[in-house]
Amino acid sequence: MAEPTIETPPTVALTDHHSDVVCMGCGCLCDDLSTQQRSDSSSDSADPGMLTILPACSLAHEWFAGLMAEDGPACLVRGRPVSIEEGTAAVRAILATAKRPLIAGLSNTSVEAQREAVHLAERWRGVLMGHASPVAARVHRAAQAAGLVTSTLGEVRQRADVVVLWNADPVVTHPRHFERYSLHPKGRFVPRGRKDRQLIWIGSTPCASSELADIKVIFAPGRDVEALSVLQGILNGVELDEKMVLRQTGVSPDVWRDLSTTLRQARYGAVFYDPNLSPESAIHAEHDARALMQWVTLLNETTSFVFHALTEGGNGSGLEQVVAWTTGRSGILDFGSGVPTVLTDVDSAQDLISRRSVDAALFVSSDPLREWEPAEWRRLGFIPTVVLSNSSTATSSSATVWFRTAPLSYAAGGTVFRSDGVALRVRPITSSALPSDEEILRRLVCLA
Amino acid sequence: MALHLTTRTHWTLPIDLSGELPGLLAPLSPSEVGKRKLLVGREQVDLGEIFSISGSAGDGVVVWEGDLSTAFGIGHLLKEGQVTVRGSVGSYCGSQMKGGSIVVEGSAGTSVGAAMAGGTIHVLGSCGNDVGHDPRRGVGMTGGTIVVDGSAGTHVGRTIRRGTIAVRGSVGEGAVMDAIAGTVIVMGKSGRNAGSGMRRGSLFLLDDAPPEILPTFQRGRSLKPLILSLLLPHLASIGFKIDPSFAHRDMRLYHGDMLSLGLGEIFSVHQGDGE
Ligand code: SF4
Repeated sequence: MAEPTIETPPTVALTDHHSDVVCMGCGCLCDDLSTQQRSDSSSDSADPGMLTILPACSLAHEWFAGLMAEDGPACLVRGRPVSIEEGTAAVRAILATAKRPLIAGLSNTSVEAQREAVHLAERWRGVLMGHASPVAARVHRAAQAAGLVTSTLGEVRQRADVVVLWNADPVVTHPRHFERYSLHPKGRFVPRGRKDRQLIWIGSTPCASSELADIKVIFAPGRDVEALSVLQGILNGVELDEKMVLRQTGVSPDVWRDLSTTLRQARYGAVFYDPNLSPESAIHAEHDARALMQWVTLLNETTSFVFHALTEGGNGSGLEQVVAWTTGRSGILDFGSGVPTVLTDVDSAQDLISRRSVDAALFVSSDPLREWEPAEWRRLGFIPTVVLSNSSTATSSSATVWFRTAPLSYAAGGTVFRSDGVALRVRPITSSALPSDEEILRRLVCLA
Repeated sequence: MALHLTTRTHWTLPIDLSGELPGLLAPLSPSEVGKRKLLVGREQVDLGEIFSISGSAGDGVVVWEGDLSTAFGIGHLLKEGQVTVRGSVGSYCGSQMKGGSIVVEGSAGTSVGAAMAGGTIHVLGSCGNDVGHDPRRGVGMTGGTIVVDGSAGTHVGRTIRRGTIAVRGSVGEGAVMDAIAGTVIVMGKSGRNAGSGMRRGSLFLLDDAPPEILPTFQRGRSLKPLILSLLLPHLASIGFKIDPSFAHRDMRLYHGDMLSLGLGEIFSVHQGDGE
């Protein structure tokens, strides 16, 4: 196959005003932002203060600041600046000698780049990290086991008169969630916005969001499954041992009954759960999510309820979709035998690398070393690594080959999926001489 | 004389041993066995490159020796014969087996006996998550017996339909979750959410500590679980001895999970009220 050519558009100054900009700073994936460069600084400026983002959102500022390009060569091989062609040849050599290459960190790039990454894993018969995080994988597994009643966030905006937050604090983690989707917007069936909605907060650690709630239920920490068993039991008419309920959940059965009555009176309810907040482990998140999904399914016997997980920023949802439609599987996939096999004995790239069960790694738009204990860093030194990232990170600094790529939503466009499965088109707010992740990955696929 | 396969060196990449069954290896000479291809990562490697080979599997016995913690699928689809592992094994040991026996003298990875339908597995060490359960397909075991002398991870016996699992040590969260039937015995501590969603089946908790019973289980009467007097000799026959007096001890019975069919039973040595 002919190698695709990478066009290098001229670098332009960030003087434009842009509207309908997509932010991937949190799982809201707001697509209504306006950006304006406040001076005539060049796109190489690393000063986030130069960019005005409206409406103001602290996480969005942080997100865009992280995308600002730095000066530097487009490709480094062992710290030596080289052309992109030399870089791709070096990657080919790495992939050709590896017996089990890992392709990971795909949750911050576009669907188009993710699709190329799946092709790359398939061509080189490697291992593909097909989920955003171990917690996201467990929630996905819970949905497969329990079934999931869900909707788009637009439907929640138009219809929900009862909003339940289960161990979730969107005020902090998803700053514009209330404004855009769940609490304040005026919808077709909730014309007065907040006045027509009831906010119920259920959880174990009160937070900024619980302060805004009309009803608060605080149960014993880590007892989500017990609390949800009680709520399901009440809906199912199960005879419950009152003392046991109080002892296990820290809440009287009468409170749970009143809550169930309120929920049953909802015309349309939406339950939001943040799997990244409370559980001690990914397994807890799976159990909690499974119980929540079963509870929501039961609520649908008398009224309408939907479940939504508050996801992390980026395009983890897109990754799940791409992996599903290209391979028919989900999770961590091993293409070693030629057909994708789901790996169930590992949770993360760190697991695979620390067991040394992969012998090369390619990370796309991610910095895994940032999340690892420094003691674990040396393990990455045993294997050759390839990194695609826009700025210098711990992982890119130690990489065998580092491609500097144009960051998605800032200097590169593409498609991303919101957590509710709605596809959004991302348009860059500046152009860049750097290639996108998709372009580099497509080159690598063509070289295979 | 059994066929002995001993690892030559430590392999960190996973080795697929799912095709190396006693019945298949029985008619082969050691040199023919050595030429069999194994998948290591994405490469086909001669078995003889990884293992030194002696003896023959003519008597239906295969002995794997050395560090096999990265080898997965040992005894997959085993129908007859005996597989012994002198060391630790990786995941999916004995998955979908239908008969024969497997003894692991070290520890085993995840999904031991995943969706097995018959035969016996004895792990002398500990096991990872999902004993008897295949998370790839979401199905549990439908027959056979797994005994574990050490501890086991989460989801022991998840979606079990028939068969028996006995664990001498502790087990993690979600034991017998979504069980359809079958029997699980835990002699150590059990993690939370045991029996969640179970329809039928029995879970025996033989530790004296108060069990964590979900509120959707209903406390039943105290009784002597005479079923154990039938089960214990069977377990003893595969090398897993339990004090027979357990069959005559009073145990507290809990019925559940009432959110499912509610015909499941948790028997607890602890007589308290499920604190
Ligand atoms: S709420 Fe999230 S997605 Fe929306 S602007 Fe703020 S950080 Fe970006």
